[in-house]
Amino acid sequence: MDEQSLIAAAQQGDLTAFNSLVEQYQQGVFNTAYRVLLDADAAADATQDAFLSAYRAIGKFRGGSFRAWLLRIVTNACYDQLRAKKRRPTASLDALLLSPDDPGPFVTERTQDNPLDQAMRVELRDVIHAGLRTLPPDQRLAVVLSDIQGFKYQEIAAIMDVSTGTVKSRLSRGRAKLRDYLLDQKELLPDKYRLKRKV
Amino acid sequence: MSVWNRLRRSDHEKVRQLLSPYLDGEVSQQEKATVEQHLRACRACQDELEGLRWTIGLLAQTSAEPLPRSFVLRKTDVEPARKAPRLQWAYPLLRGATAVAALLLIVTLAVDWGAGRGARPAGAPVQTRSIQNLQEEKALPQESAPQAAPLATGVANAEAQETPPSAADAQASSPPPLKTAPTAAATPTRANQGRPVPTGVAGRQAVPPGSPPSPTPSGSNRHVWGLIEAVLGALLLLLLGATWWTARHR
Repeated sequence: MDEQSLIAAAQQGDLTAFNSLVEQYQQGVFNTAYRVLLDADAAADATQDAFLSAYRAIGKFRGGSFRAWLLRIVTNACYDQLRAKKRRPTASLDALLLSPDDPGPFVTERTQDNPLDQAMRVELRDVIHAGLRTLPPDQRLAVVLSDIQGFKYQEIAAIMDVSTGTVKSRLSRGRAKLRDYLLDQKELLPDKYRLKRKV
Repeated sequence: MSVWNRLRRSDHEKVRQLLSPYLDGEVSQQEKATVEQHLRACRACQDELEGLRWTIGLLAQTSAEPLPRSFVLRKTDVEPARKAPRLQWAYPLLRGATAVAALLLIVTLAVDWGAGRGARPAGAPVQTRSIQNLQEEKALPQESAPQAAPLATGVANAEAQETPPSAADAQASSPPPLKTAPTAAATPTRANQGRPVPTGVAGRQAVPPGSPPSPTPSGSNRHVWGLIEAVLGALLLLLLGATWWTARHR
């Protein structure tokens, strides 16, 4: 079944068809939520909420990019999570338990990389996440959608429900801040990821 | 600062804003030409552009996070939560029952309080009649009964008083050949000696010596009050039951 048929079946209430779409997009949706929220549990909650909302609202889907539509829903779920977190700030248990030498529960599942590559990727991820954390949520989301998820400006504008000019501005400021942060923290990056300046 | 320098500076700021969309190919042809021309002469903007390119490259290298679990929806996730059965039809009934119960309670309390005030002037000592006095007043056939009959409780007193006086009673009570003093309660008789002086229902029926018996509730009034009490009890039970049911099914 192609995507359009699955969407049409899901619009008729076919849960199996909708779950086929979930399986297809859950990785991207979770990744976006994870990079925006920078908390695995909150990202999982936002992803679950987003798919549930999508199932309930799929009757209102009027064509276009289904992925962008899903990401718009997960974006709203992420904002809900951020608002809830602002109301009830909590310390992440993962952050308390993981030491810098411990790559965390997700990384152990990656077996295709050799241990050195794996360790360097973990270091890179940690530094990037720390950098993303310095950005305001709007700029962080624009950066994630553009540079990690690969969306075009118009798609980002539709997902974030803002104008293309706003996307351009948020992305420009977000990237500049992140670049400054990464340059400041370059000692924390593995050597192969450091910026080699032309002399 | 010279005009030339000022122009160069404003050009530099404008180009800095365009570097990010320039990398994404989101600039017009004219903007692209402006950026490229500026970049040829400005080392700072070249560095900025290089830094941005490097940042975007790093972000692209962040690998996907493995899913912590599958987000496939189950039937139980999408089914609307089954609501506890609600007795919508019962709410007006319960509301009415509450209103009636409240009204009856208010009426009962008001009548009770009013009767208590009306029977005894404020500040007057509480006067009660012992069963002995009552028997004497009413010249009941039980006059010959033992004086120490155990009937001195307040309720019994009241009930005895509530008995409508017969014509013979009225005749018997019209002259005051009573041995009772106005302070019958203050000087306890043998019957009520050592017992608490009944007040309230019995107390408000106090009869001053020498006066004819005060009008007492008739048998029909007693029935009305009994009915009100029964209705209040039933309503109370109904409301308690509804509260319990609601708490259980919430």
